[in-house]
Amino acid sequence: MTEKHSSRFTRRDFLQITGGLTSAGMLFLLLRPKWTFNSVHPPGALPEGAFEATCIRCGRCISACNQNAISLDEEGLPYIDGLSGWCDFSMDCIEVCPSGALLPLDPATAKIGTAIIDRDRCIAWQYPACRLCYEKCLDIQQAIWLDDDLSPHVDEVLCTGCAACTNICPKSALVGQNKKNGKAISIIG
Amino acid sequence: MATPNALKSKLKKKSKYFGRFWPTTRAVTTILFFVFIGSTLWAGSSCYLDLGAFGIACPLGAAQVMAATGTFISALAIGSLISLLLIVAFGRAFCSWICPGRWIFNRGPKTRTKSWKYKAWVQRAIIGGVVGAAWLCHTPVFCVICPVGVACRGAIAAGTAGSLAPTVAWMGVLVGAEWASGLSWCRDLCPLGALFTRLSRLNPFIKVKKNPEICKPCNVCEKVCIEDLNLSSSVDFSSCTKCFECEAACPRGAVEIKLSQIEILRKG
Repeated sequence: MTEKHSSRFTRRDFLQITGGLTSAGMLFLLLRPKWTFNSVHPPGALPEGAFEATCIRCGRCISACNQNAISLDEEGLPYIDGLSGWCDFSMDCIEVCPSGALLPLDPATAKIGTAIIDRDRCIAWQYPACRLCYEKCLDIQQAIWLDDDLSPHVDEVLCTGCAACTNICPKSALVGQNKKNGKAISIIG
Repeated sequence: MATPNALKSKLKKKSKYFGRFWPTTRAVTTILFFVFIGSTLWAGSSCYLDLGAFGIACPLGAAQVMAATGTFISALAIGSLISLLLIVAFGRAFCSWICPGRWIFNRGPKTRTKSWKYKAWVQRAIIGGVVGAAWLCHTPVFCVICPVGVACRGAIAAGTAGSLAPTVAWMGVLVGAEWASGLSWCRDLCPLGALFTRLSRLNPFIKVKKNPEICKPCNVCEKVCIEDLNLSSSVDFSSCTKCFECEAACPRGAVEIKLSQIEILRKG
């Protein structure tokens, strides 16, 4: 294998530069601050710093969840935002977590977040036209109520943050750069 | 007793047959592993395999999490112990049989250059550095970019209709790092590979050996080996990933796969 000491721009140089630029670009796309949809950690999650330290990024909770409620972010950490499914507090994710990042808790009193309504986006806050989140929650926690104008409100005490309302909201599930896209109700921690 | 020529052609035929066999078997094993994970029928990944009351945990991941949290997590510790025993038993076989990196890395234009000098110390430094980084950053940093972890999460994302973008992006970053450094990821950079290699010093099973009666050193085995091992001249086989490419490539069929190095009794 002889070394070619050439000042010509070789195929090797092209590949190295392309590869370097592509990976730099991908790293940037991955790590830049992006607007994201509100999300919470799965039930039983340790508090903020401890969760990032303890989660081994194995993905078992995502596999275990029957509702497909949990998703993975770029770092490998699990989150629930209601877009893919909603949490029924079955505790399967807690059962399979090997490192104890998700700890057992009583499903009767479990709360992973609180629903918050974006009144600019919510159909029922513009016209008395939609009642999907209210009717969905009737079967679960009865934490959403409609006022005299048929606009929904969230009872923060009753809400467990299960994200069923987010899941059923008919607004677009696409989350884009301008806040014109995205659901009208989301879960905050 | 067979004539030398008959023996030679018989051995060549044998090596041709196995030549087709090994890469396919390895590829099928790797694909099946990821299909199994992606199917989500079984909640698991290479980071943690559940066996009921306990499991097999990635030792590097377990070390990072325990360093990041500063606590002892018994499930991870027991799992690591079991996986360390498996590594001693099977050496670096994980690298060639399960890790998808074997098919993605080692294709850079400069990966045929020689690896580090004082390789053992560099590997110890890499392992220590990964655990130290986890302790400093309070998060298992390497777990985020670990190629087999990224692939497992990609398989799970595919199985749950999630996004494959992080998987593609992280793999691209790792391949980019490999090409920019001019080294081979599997041979020189991978912290998992470094840990497996250090432990494989004790590995007694499934070793490749040359048959000195047949071998006339032509160095083809070194050319195909991703770890740059030469069956005629190398002394330390702890970095052998049991891929058996040498066995497939040897034109004289001089490579033998010995299941056990443990010699019980020698007659005579």
